[in-house]
Amino acid sequence: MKSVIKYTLDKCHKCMKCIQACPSHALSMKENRIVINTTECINCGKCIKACVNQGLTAIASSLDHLKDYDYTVCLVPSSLVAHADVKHSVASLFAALKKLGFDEAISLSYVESGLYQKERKNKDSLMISSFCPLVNNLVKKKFPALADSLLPYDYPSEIMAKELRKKYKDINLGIFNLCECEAKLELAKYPHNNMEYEVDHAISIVDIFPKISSNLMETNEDVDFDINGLLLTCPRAIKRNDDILLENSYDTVTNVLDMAEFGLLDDFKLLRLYPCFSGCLGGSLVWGNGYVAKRNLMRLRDFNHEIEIQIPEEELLNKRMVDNDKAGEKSFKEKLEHFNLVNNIFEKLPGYDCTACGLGGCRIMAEEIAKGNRKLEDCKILVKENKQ
Amino acid sequence: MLTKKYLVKEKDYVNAGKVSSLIKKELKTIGVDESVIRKIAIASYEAEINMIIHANGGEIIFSIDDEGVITLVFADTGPGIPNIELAMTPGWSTASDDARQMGFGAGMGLVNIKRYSDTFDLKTSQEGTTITLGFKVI
Repeated sequence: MKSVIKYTLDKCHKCMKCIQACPSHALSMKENRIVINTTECINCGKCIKACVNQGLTAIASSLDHLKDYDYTVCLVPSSLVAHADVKHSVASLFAALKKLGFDEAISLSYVESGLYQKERKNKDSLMISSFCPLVNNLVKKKFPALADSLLPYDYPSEIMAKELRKKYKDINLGIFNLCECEAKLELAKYPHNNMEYEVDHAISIVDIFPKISSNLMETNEDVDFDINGLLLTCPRAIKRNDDILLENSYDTVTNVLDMAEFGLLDDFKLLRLYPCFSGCLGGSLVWGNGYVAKRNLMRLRDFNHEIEIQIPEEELLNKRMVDNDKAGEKSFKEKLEHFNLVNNIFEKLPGYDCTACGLGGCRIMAEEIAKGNRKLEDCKILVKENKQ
Repeated sequence: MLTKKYLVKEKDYVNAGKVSSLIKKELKTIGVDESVIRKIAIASYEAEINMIIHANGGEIIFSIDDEGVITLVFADTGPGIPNIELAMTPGWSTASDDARQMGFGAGMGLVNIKRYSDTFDLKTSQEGTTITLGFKVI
């Protein structure tokens, strides 16, 4: 995983809220600054929300790069479309995007809807939908026993970008992906932890939203989108199905994955998990709120606008999935020795998980002491207790 | 070598599965292969639930030796299993109605525990039951 989150303050207020919020213990404090361990970060964005001083932000590309290309295409995620309230304003949204300088704006809803149709056909065993990059990161990092259950499909934006590359193969083509969350920004830059990608620039929706709304106007243009793809952005809008388990918050998603690892969800066929509240509609980089967007989405439901996916099956597959690198791994005996060493140090620490040392808790501190990066004296509580 | 002991309380449905979660977490921290973690997780969860619904609770001992053999001992002080052959039959269950209402008692417990473990040993008497499971780390 590659982090798209950066720290921007010169001096930190040292509240440690971001360090406490990070589920991967990827954040630590060194010399009054927050340091992000980019290989541990899963881009969940919890630290950005936790920081009371707006000290953390997501790294996104900008529209300045439009001039680098002869022909530019904007990939529009369904969650942005769903924020438009009636069909007329969907057309006006696409027209506004073109006014920003794109030659073409394409809805990802066909690909999203087409992939879901394929996901639902799975009848063998429990599978996990791989549309959300954060769920993919979570499974690979925290629930590796479920990695084989991830469906083999590529991300919708990558599939669409590949199709566009074929269609415009002789043109200097620039593909810009509008992103709803930090994890999607990562996806556009490093899909599946890979340095190869089809999307040229990942744009944060909040960054360009003021420009979009000032460009909104009446238009006679027609827009193609698949209503099923739009409904898929919000788990509550999807038709109930006994075989499919839908969840929409980070904590319920991790709970579901925990249960799946115990083999308790084998009666289900598909886990379609949305770590964001209200699904992708509630992504942290989406302007507007998930409640209103969900209501708008329900109104759009009346426009029955289904288009069959035309992309062949093999083009939908993700062929670049990088396996966890097992080379250079320690032997089991070494691993166990290290674990025991960390445990011995851990027992000497006070166990408050106060994070005053600048690390995510006593367990992480023990790990860092074992590696030689910190000393027992770096624990503020131990030092105080020893003085008394 | 590593040994840890956990207590499981009688009829404690609220905390059902917590010990198995802890063990699973430890295994991930050590860096045990994920296919082994999955087998242990499934077997350990079943055995832990059994202690809560059928027996009067007891203790779970988790140990790993340097050769990479993981041993889990589930020792309860329950009434024992009167007929092991029946208990090992898929679908056969003596779970109480309230346990079934909680979603437990499908009659696959012991069957799955045996299926997912590399070695399986069951000793039972009127003083209690002890299940010892062995797993080989790849």
